[in-house]
Amino acid sequence: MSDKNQDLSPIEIIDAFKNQDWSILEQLIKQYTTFLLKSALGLGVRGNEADDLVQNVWSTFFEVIDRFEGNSQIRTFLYGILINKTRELRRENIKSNRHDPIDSVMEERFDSNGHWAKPPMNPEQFLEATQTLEIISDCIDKLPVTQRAAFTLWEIDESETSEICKILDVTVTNLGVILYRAKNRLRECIEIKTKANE
Amino acid sequence: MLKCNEIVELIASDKSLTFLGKMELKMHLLMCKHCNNYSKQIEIINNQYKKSIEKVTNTDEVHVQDLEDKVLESVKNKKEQKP
Repeated sequence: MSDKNQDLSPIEIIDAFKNQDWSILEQLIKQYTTFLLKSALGLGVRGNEADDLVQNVWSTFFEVIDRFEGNSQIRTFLYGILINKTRELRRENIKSNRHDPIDSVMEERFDSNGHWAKPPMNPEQFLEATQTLEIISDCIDKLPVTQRAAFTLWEIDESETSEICKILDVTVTNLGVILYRAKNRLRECIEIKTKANE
Repeated sequence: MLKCNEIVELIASDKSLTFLGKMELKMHLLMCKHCNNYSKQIEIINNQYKKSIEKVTNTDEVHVQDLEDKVLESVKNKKEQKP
């Protein structure tokens, strides 16, 4: 894959689009489609739905390209569109992220002095239960899109904090809350499933 | 001194800590079995999450090329629709 258009500016892309310079656009599409497909799959969109989603993202990209700001990377811009589209697909409201039932679940695990009232399951049993990945992928599928995206960007892409905040449109503090909720949702879900299988 | 519920928050939200903060966290984990278990659970989740996502994001090249062609085609059509 050529890295020639690594630094393609929005203006160059807009020009290429206006002048029907397909070779530049083809390069651009080839550079980011794998990334978009992998990201869609990572967000839990499967099969044809994932292909349609990627096409949809590109189509929107070319519609809003003139609003693209030079200071954000194309990759970030595309990922942002992808997340919004995935939220639409899942009929998820951004506002619904303000309250998460996991917060009260976690509160109940501690007594009023902040000590464990319901201690966590022992890690050996926990590891054994997640060995086949079946349980954890079931639990991952239950995560809200934003939490899933945040965790994926944080743990797998190891993107810069500022970059993740820009993509998700959240503050650094919010990002911490989102990661906290994602991990505890997974943890609770795995514990419940493990106990059910006992 | 931080309490268990505060320690759990530090661990799960991946807060960047000062040197003293890190020391306090370490000390707490040495003394508190439950928080230690919690921290191990989170580590397991991080690892298994990675494995699980890598598994579902496997894509084959032919499929991707096919998709790229479709995308380019629709971009061309779009351009033709609004000259």
